[in-house]
Amino acid sequence: MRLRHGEVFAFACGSLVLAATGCATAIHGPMQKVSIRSTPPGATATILPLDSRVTTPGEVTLTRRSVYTVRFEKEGYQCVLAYLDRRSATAAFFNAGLFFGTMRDYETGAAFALVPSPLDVVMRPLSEVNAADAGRCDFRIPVETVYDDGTESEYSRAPEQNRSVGLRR
Amino acid sequence: MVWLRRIALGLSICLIGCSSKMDIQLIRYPEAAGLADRGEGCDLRFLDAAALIEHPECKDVGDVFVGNTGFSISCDEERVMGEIRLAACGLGADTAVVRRLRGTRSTCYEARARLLSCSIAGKRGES
Repeated sequence: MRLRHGEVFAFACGSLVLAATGCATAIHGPMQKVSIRSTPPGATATILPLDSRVTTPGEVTLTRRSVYTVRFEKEGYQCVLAYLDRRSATAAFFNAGLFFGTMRDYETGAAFALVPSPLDVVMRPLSEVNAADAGRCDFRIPVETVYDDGTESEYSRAPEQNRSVGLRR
Repeated sequence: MVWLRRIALGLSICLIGCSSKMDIQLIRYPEAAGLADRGEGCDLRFLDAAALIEHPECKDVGDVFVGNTGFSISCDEERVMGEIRLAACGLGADTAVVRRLRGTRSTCYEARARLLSCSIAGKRGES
């Protein structure tokens, strides 16, 4: 089968448009749906810096370009601060170095993925917390960003349970 | 081939313009209300992510992410720490717990820092 000039031109134009759009933008778009859960459920999760609220378990749609901090609050429990980080999305690597596509993916934020997803935290009852800590939020960091043990998308139980090792570089 | 040169020139200008920028995202917590700007280059304690900041006088006042725009060239550790210091001082924090982000496949140093205000600890001169 021989292609005519018009078909070749149309194919070339189509390829160019796809390349300029960005693979990640085309595949999963600039927004990501993130599930937010807590144990026990029914906590109010405030997503900073947006200051939007959701009751757990719930879902929020966020732009992949930003990072977020989620503050969990529930009567009778110590509040929890947890991070949503961003990392490079696999879909962005299909651009294979195409300048415009890569640029477009970074510009829209589609080059990234928010982690961990789902964001799941365990809250401690105030009865189990020292009086000095009761007024302060418990802080959780993603294990995968601290330790090189292959763990992914998992939050540490509490800061005091983290291993005492230096920041790896 | 004049048009080709123009495109190359445009791309070069775009790349040079983008390369000096970094993506800086500061998240201010409600606890930061009332804290004063401590001025550029203020005294700031840098701790690594394994540090346990559970001092009763320390409170989380915000966090900052410093990362790649996609075309950042000047994004080494020193530059990133400088940006963290700038953000922390502006927020009124005196301690930054820095965590390097892994798995970003970026050649840039990317970090997210927990910003704390530890007024009592600071007065005691703890390091």
